[in-house]
Amino acid sequence: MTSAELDQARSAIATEIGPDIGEFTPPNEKRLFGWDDMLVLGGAFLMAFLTAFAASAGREAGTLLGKALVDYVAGQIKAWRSKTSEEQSAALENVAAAAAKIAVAKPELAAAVSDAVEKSLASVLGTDAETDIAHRIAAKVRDEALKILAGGAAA
Amino acid sequence: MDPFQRKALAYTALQRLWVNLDPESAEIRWQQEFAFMNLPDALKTPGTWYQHEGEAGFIEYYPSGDAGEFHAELPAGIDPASIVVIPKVAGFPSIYDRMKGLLLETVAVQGEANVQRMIADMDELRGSSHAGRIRSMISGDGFTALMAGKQAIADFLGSKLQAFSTVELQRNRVTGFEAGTVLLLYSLFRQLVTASPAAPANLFPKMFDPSCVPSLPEMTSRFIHDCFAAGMGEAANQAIDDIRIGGDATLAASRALLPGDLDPGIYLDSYYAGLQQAALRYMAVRWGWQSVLVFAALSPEDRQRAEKRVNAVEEKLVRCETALMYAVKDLDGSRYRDYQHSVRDARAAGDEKKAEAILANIFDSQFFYPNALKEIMSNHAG
Repeated sequence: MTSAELDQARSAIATEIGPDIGEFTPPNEKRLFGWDDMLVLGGAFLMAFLTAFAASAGREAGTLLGKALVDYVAGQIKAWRSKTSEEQSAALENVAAAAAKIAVAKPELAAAVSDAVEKSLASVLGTDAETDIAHRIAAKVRDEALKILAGGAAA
Repeated sequence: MDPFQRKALAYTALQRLWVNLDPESAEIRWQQEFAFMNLPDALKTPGTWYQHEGEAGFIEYYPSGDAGEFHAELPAGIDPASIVVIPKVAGFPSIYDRMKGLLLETVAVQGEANVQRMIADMDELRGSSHAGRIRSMISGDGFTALMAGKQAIADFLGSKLQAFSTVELQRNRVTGFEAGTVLLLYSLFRQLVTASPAAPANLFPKMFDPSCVPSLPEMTSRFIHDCFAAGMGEAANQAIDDIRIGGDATLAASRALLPGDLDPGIYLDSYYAGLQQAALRYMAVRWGWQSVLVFAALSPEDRQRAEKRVNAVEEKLVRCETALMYAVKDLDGSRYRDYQHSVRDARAAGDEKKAEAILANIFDSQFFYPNALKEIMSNHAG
């Protein structure tokens, strides 16, 4: 996949976050968030999904499940926020490439793992956000991530 | 579109802004907005800090260049000498003056008596007795319904909500905040009558207790406190969240509105009307959570959750309110064209990312236009 495709995916997730951005930011950060902030969050959620997908589907001894996967996703979102913009873009490209390779190598796992990762992401997001919003955003992240994986497989 | 229709659209855009929260706060915001617009371009730089002449507090102008945030205190690290003071602009007509002027221009079409009645309604809405009158009306009629049983209360609140959020709001007889507050009462009532264990019977009369409160919102706020004190906090939380879900659905439906064969002015008017409906729901949600926070015995977790919910809904409410102000500023379509030119200029310079960011800011971050216009603006920008 190209960096333009990754940008497109981040942008689509950011659009889905839109006015719900206040659900995912600390209460003491009281401000009107702009498009750039939405893009950062969109990237964080996509990165968390792809990393968790690669980590879970790439394990020899079975997939990460349950709380372990939830903790993993939460850790990825936290790690993303400490990166610079350039580091974020580079990390996203690397993990997308790795996840796409795994999706090609283990197509039988891709659907089940992406289901589990989506649920974990919704669970992590739901610690801050209302449940309906967390599920809606997680589903969008999964849609965009699967497009990335399909694009990587086609390449 | 004939001149009368154009005036009608200008009137409704101003009217939505005027009644949304309450006329007084709308007028203050209107004057401040104009004072800011009146600054030389060189002083309107994103990232700059401002203070309105003679007012307390400071405003940080965001890098996106179309919004700011109020701070009561100047944060550490900001040089007080760098603050730009926005001077007051004398003689700028109020929203009320503009609305009244537009109405008087339509006497030939609407009739003198009708126009005078509409102006009288505006005068009552901004008068000092309005808030007390609405409180007494809901309280008095609510107590009457209470005598007739729970179904009568549901019918009463449902019919008041229907009237307040549509006709009464459009006729300047109630504010959006008051309509939102009736929605809050209605949602609370629906949760309480189905709650398990059942709500204490002596809780319901407190819903309409007007003593020692100046307005309907204050009466509702105290009732939310009473719900928590009676152990019905969960029902109150659910009642507030139901309204948030309704607000989100209203907002999503408005943003997804398609133009069809509508005249562009009427299409946008319908869109902003939808945003106003979302805004009154978000005001109800914010007021609901703010009222919850007044309850001293709230657990730390519940307090944190309520604080979070206030912030989250404010992100949406501010965007709706900003779009209602924007609707007035763009009645002639000039701002739409300016944005289209900005997208075109960015593309001409080979900066597609900038073009995309401009579009995303207008349509996804802000709600200046319905989503259907994003592609149209983008395509027509070349």
